[in-house]
Amino acid sequence: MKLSEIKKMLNADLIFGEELIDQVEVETAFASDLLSDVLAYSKENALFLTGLTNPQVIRTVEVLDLVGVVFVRGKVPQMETVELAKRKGIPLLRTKCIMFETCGRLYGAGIKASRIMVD
Amino acid sequence: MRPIQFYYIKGRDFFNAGRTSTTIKRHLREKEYPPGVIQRVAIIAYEAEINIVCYTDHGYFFLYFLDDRVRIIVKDRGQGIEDIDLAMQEGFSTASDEIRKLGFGAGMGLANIKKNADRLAIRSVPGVGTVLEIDVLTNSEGRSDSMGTTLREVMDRANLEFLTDGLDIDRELTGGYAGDLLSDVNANSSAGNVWVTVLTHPNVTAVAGLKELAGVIIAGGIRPGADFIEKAYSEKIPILFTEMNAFDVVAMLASLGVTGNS
Repeated sequence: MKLSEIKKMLNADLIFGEELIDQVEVETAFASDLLSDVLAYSKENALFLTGLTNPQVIRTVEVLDLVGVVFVRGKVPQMETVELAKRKGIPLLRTKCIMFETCGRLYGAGIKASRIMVD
Repeated sequence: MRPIQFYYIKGRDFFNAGRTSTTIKRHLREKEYPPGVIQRVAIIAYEAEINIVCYTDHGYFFLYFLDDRVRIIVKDRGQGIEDIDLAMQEGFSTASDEIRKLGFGAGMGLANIKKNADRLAIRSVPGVGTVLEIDVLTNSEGRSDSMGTTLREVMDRANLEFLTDGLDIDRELTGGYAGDLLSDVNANSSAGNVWVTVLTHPNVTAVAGLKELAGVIIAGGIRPGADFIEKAYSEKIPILFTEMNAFDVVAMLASLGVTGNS
């Protein structure tokens, strides 16, 4: 599914990535407010759903080759975070949905978990 | 690109935390390592970098591109780790609220490094700092119980002359020390180190024995006498000899991933 479709589904604002959201294909997602857990468990190419707003969100996306970020609960990313995302070409969305609702809508639309279970 | 890369990482610089790791990732891409290897090294480097930024004044990475592996040596000047076994447990963390607000401090860092490494060795002195030595094998995606560098590998690589046939040169080296002052080596070398020196006095073997060093490389081309070799056998300290100067020997050791203790 295209990121632009996900934007509609979540009534999300586009923070950065006008030219990217019609190109980026999303098949899986990872939702977490713990970056260490993302690093430990997420697989590449996932869409990252988080309430964190600091630049480390973008570093983590870069290290793991994730495809983009959705800030949930209406969180506004810090200016440095947006600047870094622009430099790295990482699309950013912001939704007022809480994490659970965000995950539910995506799952209902066929987006799968980046990892099914943690062993 | 050179086979050894050096990176300095400043503590408490939360904005730039992760920059070094993404640089390393780019280098690995340029060298066309398999994607799985790049991913694992990047995650390891990032977790280690975050630890330096969160818990230390500063630290640095040495990155080695070796024949069959990528080796990262992480050294920091920080608070050190009191109990390494405890620190390795998932969920254990001493993070401050500031660190937790960033999304770290979940107690996954070291465990995550271990999970992605083929080999991890940790040395830490509380109040002084921590050294991590991490290998990721490049010839396979899988894990193995690989060993670090041995004196035999060093000997084979640089065509060193083995003067004490029969003594054990298959121990994994814990690092190296270079020096021509016995008191300095006595004070600062560590057990299992290889010692590089130009000295040929028999007391060299006494110090090496006392400090339980893995062996001595006599550099500079001045050959030790029979009394030296005899003493080496009685102390069970393997002796290697080379015409290379000490600086080149140390550079050669570094290219094999053998580092200092500091």
